[in-house]
Amino acid sequence: MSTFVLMRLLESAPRRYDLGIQLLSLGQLRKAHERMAEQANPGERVLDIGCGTGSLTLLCAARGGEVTGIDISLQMLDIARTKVAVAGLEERVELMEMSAVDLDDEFSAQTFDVVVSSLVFSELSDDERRFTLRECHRLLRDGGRLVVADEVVPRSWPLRLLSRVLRFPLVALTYILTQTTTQAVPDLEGTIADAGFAVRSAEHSLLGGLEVIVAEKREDG
Amino acid sequence: MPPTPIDLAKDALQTGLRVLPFPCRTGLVRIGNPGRESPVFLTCNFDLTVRRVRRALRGLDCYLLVAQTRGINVWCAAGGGYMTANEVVSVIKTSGIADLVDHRRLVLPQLAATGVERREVEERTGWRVLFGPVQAEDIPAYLQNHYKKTAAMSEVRFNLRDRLEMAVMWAFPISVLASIPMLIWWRPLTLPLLAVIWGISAGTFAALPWLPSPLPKKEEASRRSAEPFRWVQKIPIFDPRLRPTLTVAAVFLAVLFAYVWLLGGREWSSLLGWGLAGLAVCLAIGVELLGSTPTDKSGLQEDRLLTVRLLEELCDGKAICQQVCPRGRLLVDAKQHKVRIVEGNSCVQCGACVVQCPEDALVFVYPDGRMIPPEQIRRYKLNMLGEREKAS
Repeated sequence: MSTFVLMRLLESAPRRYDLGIQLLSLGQLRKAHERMAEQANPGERVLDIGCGTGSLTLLCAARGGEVTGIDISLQMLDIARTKVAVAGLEERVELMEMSAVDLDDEFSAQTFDVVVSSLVFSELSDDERRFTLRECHRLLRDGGRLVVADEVVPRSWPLRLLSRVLRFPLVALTYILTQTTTQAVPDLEGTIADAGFAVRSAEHSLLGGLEVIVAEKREDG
Repeated sequence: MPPTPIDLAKDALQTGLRVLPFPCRTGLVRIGNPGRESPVFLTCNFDLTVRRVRRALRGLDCYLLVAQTRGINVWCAAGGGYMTANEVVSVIKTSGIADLVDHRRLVLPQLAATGVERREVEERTGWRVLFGPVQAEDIPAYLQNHYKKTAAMSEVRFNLRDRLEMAVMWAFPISVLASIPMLIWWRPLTLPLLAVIWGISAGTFAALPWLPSPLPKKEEASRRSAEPFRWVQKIPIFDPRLRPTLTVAAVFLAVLFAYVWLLGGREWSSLLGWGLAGLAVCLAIGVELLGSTPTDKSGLQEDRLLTVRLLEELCDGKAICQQVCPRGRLLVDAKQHKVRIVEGNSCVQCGACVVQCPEDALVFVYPDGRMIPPEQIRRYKLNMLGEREKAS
């Protein structure tokens, strides 16, 4: 999903984020979020890392999960808080202004049944990604699920070439307007497996750019 | 090790395209043979900066942490919210530096002070944060001085070399964009136009300290507001912010006319053409001329209207503001344990002093007297439009 580079534009203006990201992903992100939320069963404790404006958090809470959403952007959290209030789900949602690297100080081991995260891992550096995955492993109960959606580098070379070509003008435009860009994750499945998870399923979008991974905490890991 | 040809080529490319971010690898970098007591420095992940910092640290044994600032330089990333306590905490915790040294002392570049709140990093990590010199070249002297800065190390310099670097930053992309149509339709005029572009850019930045001040001084501003024809200033070309640029344009046109006159040329149409081209170059540079200096605020940012006020009763002279001000505007009176604002030096409205003051004794004030709570300056950084965006 090459259009995710334009996400930067939207992040600089949180008020327009929700509408913009749906348009950019041609509605695919919404579908991905619905599939992800299916992993959260009623009564289960869910952690949403990088909850942003709270779309995925709300879907999980609507299915009956007890959701904790964390994000570093105060502006995004303000919007999420409003959406939670409108949906009347305050009882089941807790939103915290917090970075993924502070998870170790905030929660004790085996606190959650499910950890979800959408379009966050591609924002992290290699060190941060490893650190966060190690934390996910610690925070999940044995057999708990990690559900991640992110922009990945497609595996087959024609798709990889196509995504490069499609991506370039968008990268250039985003660079010029926001001075930033996003980077697709090279081998997200492998990185997750290395952190002590057994990958149960990995679904790709039509062009191979957006991947939804469901992984289970290995008890020996 | 002297820089390799590849490094020099990268330097040239990244200087020419400085307006774009160039991210490099983040995380831990070892310089020399660091041990358990070696100093730890931190910088952004703008590739050009990292190479320069490594050159400046050559000969020392130390660690360098490269934070994830999206490939943006320290000053811009800190002002725009890409270099905050989060990025600093993140690289401290994920790089494993705590296992490598016995001390807990981290030196940040001083210009990060507008974005990274020192107190927050200290509370979240237990590391002590020091703001080092503005220029990485001063780091060896700073270490010899036992982590104490001289006044000169805290002040931002914008000397001829730095100014010409900014001139290249403008001239290069403008040349590339202008060359495309020129090479297709007016090939013989391409070189003269490039000479105009590079000449005006270099001239503008070289002469910057002597060009008329872009913004009226306080007294002048109040007099001006009483003037009739104030609406004239609303027409972009009469905007006082374009004063330096228009001065350069006028000088350029005068030289051009004199040159043509001396050659005995009377071709007014081509003279007019070159005059307009020169004016266009001046305006292209003028839009963000001040934004590309570390000594003035961009004309596009609301913050340029703010002034810093000292709430004297709250100040207890800890003097952190004096260490982070890039303009030498704050001085501590050791006897009274109070800070004093030096009126002569001009403020850049970077907000570093407001962000870092542990007593909230320094605040930004709007021209109409409204105060902005320091917490708001700490939490909301400038977005691309030069506003501090809050969700509404």
